[in-house]
Amino acid sequence: MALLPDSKEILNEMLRVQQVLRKTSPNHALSEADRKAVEVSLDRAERAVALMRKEVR
Amino acid sequence: MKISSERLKKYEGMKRDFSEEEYINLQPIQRGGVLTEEARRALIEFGDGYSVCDWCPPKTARLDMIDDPPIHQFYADLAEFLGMDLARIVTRCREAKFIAFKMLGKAGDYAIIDSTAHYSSYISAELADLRVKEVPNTGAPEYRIDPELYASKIEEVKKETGRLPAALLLTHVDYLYGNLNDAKAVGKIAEEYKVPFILNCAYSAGIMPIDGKEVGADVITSSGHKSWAACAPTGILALRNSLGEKVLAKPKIEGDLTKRKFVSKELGLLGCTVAGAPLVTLMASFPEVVRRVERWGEELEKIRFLVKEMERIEGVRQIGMRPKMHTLTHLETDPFFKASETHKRKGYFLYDELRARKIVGIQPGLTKHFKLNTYGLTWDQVKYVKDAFLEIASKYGMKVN
Repeated sequence: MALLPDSKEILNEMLRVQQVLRKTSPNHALSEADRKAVEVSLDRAERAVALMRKEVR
Repeated sequence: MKISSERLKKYEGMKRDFSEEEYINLQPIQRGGVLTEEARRALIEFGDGYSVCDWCPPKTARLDMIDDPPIHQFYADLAEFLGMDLARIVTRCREAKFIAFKMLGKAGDYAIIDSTAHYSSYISAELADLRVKEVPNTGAPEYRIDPELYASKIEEVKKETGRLPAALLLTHVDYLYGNLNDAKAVGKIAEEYKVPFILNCAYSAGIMPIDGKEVGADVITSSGHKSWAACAPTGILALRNSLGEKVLAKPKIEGDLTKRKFVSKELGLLGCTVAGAPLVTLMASFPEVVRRVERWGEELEKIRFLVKEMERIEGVRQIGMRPKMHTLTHLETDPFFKASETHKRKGYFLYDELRARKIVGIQPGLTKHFKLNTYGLTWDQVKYVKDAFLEIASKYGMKVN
């Protein structure tokens, strides 16, 4: 089962996104690097969610 | 007793009102404790109760001897980082002060402390059955502690009691004005008189470089949740080897029936201390803490910039020593007080105005003077804070130069 590693991956990526939100609060005017980092994290999380969905079906 | 499920609902889905993701928080005690990403990860991983005790007991059944997670190594690295020989994690900085006072003094002894010390320094001394003699400060506007006065206070104690004080305590950076006190000068006096020197680094170690050896500290106390990007409760007690045996003395008690003894434990610490998530967050943030103290110069630039900008508002002035040597800052803000007198929300208008701009941490209701701390904010955030204050000043007709 890939459920465990994938769930951790999602958590990790969300923590990364959270860090970007923390250092850009309150207006969240993201720099290009921040935007890219958030996109990479969302992609990884999305892939992990898709794998988890497959596992539980 | 049963608690109704209705009542228990209060504890479901608890949320913070002011998350770092949404607000800029200027609360002086909170800036240095904001967790790193690695610490947030560790918090989730090690959140369960005695999470660090999976491989316990190690050979010596004590928290600081655990190798997985690497607590044993961390204590050694922490001591080295502070320029000390030994380190222990306790629950809070005040416990560290209490342990040092208790183990170094005898009932009725004096501790000499600076008059800008936190209340917890006083009550730590009281709980350790010590009396205190205060080193005065210069009063407004600097509130400076003259280190030379420690010598005259030692003489005073000698004259009164016929013996030396149990310890000297200096608050490295005080909680009221953010003054950086001259630790090296006090260390020299402590060395001359052979009195143990406790340097309270609650607001300094973990955010700025500290070398205990260089300043002659025998004991360093600090706060993980205040200045080391760790969860509460975490305190640091770091020592010179010369005091190790005394401060970390082993218990001698023996059960009268069972004959049980506990010789591997440390008496002052009451055995193992922080055996879970807070300790691990402290460890997880440690690499970033080691790096961030090197950026202290930039943190000072940011606060000096903000002070300069705030003082453009006529009647606003920074109190405490100048230039700022720490990010904790106390401002006298008379024009905001004047504006509050005619406002229907009185002193709360400033809090409302700041909160509307997603800035919190200034004590609600205060306008005459208040404290703030910019530690760890980005330049953009500091400029955002500056713009907010200047905008509020203009809105209420204050003169901005």
